[in-house]
Amino acid sequence: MTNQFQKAFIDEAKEIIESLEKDLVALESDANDSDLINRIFRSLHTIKGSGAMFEFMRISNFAHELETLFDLVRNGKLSISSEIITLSLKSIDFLKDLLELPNGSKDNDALEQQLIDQIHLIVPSDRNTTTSGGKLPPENRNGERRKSSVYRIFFKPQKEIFLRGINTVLILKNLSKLGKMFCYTHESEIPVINEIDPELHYTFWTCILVTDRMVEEIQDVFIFVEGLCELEISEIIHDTEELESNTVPMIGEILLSKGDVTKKEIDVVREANKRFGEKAIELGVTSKDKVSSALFEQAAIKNVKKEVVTNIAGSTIRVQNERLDTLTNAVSELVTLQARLTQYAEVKRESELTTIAEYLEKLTLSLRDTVMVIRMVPVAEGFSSMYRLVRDLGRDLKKKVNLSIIGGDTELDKAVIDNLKDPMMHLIRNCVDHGLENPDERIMQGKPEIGQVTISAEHIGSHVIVSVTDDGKGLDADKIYSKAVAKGLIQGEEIMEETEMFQLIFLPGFSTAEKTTSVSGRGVGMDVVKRNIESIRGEVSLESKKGVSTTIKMKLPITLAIIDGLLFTVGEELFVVNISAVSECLELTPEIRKAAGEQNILRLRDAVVPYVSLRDLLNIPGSPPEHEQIIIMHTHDQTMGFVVDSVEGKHQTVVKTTGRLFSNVKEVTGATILGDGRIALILDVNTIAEKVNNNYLMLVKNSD
Amino acid sequence: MTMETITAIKESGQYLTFQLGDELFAFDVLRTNEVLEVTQVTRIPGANDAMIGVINLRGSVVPVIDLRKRLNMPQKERTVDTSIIIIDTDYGDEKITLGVLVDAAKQVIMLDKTQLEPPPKVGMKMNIEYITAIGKHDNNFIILLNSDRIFSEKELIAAVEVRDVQE
Amino acid sequence: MVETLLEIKNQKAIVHVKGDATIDTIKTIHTVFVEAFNSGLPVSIDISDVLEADGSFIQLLRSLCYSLIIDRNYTVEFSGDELSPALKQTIMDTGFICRPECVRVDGIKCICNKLMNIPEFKLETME
Repeated sequence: MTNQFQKAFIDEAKEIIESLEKDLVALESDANDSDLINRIFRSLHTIKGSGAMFEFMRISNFAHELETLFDLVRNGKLSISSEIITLSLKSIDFLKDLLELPNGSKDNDALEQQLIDQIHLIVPSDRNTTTSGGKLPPENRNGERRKSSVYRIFFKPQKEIFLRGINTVLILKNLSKLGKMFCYTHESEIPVINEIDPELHYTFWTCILVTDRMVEEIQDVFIFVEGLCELEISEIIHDTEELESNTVPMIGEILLSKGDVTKKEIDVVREANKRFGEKAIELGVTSKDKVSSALFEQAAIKNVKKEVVTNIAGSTIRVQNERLDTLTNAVSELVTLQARLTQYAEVKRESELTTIAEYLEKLTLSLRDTVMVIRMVPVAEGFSSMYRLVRDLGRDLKKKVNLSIIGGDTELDKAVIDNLKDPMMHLIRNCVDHGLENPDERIMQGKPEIGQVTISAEHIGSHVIVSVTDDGKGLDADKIYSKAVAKGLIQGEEIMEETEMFQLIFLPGFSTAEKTTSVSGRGVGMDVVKRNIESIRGEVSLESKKGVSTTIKMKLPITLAIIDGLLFTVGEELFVVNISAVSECLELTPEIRKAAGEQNILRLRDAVVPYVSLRDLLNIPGSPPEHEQIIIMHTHDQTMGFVVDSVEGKHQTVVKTTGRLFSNVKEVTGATILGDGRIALILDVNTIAEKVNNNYLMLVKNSD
Repeated sequence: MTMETITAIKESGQYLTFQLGDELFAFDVLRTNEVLEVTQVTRIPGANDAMIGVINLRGSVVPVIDLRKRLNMPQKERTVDTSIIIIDTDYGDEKITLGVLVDAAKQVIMLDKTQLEPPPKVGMKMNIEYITAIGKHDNNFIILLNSDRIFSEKELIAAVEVRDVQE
Repeated sequence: MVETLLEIKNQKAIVHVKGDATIDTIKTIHTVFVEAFNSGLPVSIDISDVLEADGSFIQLLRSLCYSLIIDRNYTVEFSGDELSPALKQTIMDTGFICRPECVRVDGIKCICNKLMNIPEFKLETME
């Protein structure tokens, strides 16, 4: 029995086979034409799919064998030979014969088996039964992934479609073979059992399909139901790049893109502080079915993204933090050991030993650098949770906020980022809660209704500057000053620049919030932020313009693990400073002392540089040697000399923390273990310089 | 006293005893890791007096606290017996390894409930919050110390802040 | 071909469906579903012997399930052995297991999810 649709299939299939023949012949002269190969594959795929749909199983199955063959060709696993072309043309002839035969006829069985056997000789047996379906698109022959897109396919067959001999399940099945598919079934129109006409088609679908195929190939799947259904194919995510990002569209966005709700309706729904979907249904803006479908789409996209991210990891691997830390530690130990060997080699002065030590040093440093690179994480990745935070805060506080991250690809050591998360969260809370005004207020002041919070990151030398800016009401310097006085944090007699007044909010016991809210007032103030930042050898400062903006700037070390240090001694004690701060080392000659007179200053070319004795400053016992040395260092606002006993030289410094118990000792940022087991302390030049300046100021005051 | 103290004295267990001056003290043995001879302690300038510096414990930098100073006892010359007891303390979310400088580490003893008494409310020279219980062993009194309390960050930082004000 | 049987046992209407449940046989199946529903008893269906199925059958199952829920506030039960691979495949292909819960009535487990007996199948949803 051949119905009119089956007849339509036969006509259509004959056309396809004609073009197939043409393409095969053309392929013989140009075996590498990938367009041709793709077209042949698609033609066979169509014959297979629609053949099955109209119950020409024999045709479908046979086309499947050929399709498998060309799938291999397409993926570069098989190259076109004249044998393949000949076999394919023979097979096509056989397909033509099949089309002429009544359905289910058993003629030509022998020929069929012969052809299939020949195909199997070429196609490895484990490939016979599988086609590329159900998985994410395979890689192409260059090993590069063709860009995948995500499509939304709305497919609503006419109610009478069953009566036309079409099995919609097969259409979905064919569709799912194009890539990875998530299928949402709309059943809102299925009537109750007493009212249903079982022969009518009430079900319709929204499918989310991830595929590297072209949209035409998706359309091909529906070729035989053209005019018998509502069909809408839209590309919702263009390429994998978008897929790689972590954002998932919101329900409102999905409904909007489907035209299920209008922008205006979204705004109305958003006013209500509720889950978007629930509220939208409650307000009658859309239906439960549509919201469910949107929720499904969101989940599917999230799922796909997860998979894409894992798949992209094909060229990368994920490593547990602990393992990375173990590796870093091992490399750190190696660096220490290598330093010890170098030291020993210098003493021994054996050429063979020196050569080995030098070679090991090179190798160790390259290994160290590699590990440091592995530890680097782009800032955007570390702060991706801030988007959610801002969104939630905005909702809780009824403020409109937009967050942008600038320089998100700037990289920082994972440990730095981890340590930065809490302070960042606190800063962002402050921005949204205290910084930004209410929408009404903003409009009154002629500002955009939506407040802007910006996180930016950039490299400056061996540091990364991360700043958080809001375009809110800014800080009132005088208010801060008087509050600091009221709280007894300062005397009230100090004369301060505006910028200095701003820094007062970092003092312990200061909190700008007039009332503590559940959002910002969690018992932690800016002093905690400052302490956190300083615990990772960072610096924090604040700039603000009243009524315009507030910016918190954090200067952070790129890595915490290893620094290039300069090792020196004072008395029995060993110290290291970051070599990037050192400009030169000099001997403190009697001439210099003489020229300085009563002052501790030296003339360095044209500049006058003050110097201090670290022995005095750090209360180190013992008396200085005859020949002291001066290390000239750049702190953030000046050049200063530090008098030390002896400069030992460059040192690969594996930074170890001295722990929380010494967190109040700002001059020492860490410690390192030398090759001989002794401990050297790592000094923070900036803090020491600050201390020197303060002492100097006190001296001046006292002498007044 | 606090609930902690009351629950603590109900338990019997093993304790590492040590000497400070004429008195015997002890830490819960579960808190202690090892006993070291005094090696070179690297001083950290500007730190709280009781925190005498850091040592290299097989590649880790470990802070050392002078218990005499912590308990405001008079200073004493170091001798061959002077030891560093390595202990673990809970700092909220993390566990910190500390070295505690004592006059002499003694032995690990077993004390059961009957040998333990709550600290007397009066008459103690030190803050009784630092004491878990008083143990009796071989006719000696042993002061069982609450290491988490005595070396708590709050206590140590508070001590530092006081010092800052005095400066 | 399809064989259907309505069995009233232990105060339950048990529907047995055997063979092909496709558009060609759907009317027969519908008739027995309606009978079962109209009996007013809890409905249990045994479809472990369904060899072929298409969208019309799944749709009818959903209709029955939905009708029972809105009319009597209980859902359909399943008796019999595991489903045939063909039926499972059809349920998979039609996307009827996209959500673990019924998309029409809150708080009801999706019948197809139940059928497939795959509780772990769940797309993570968020809003």
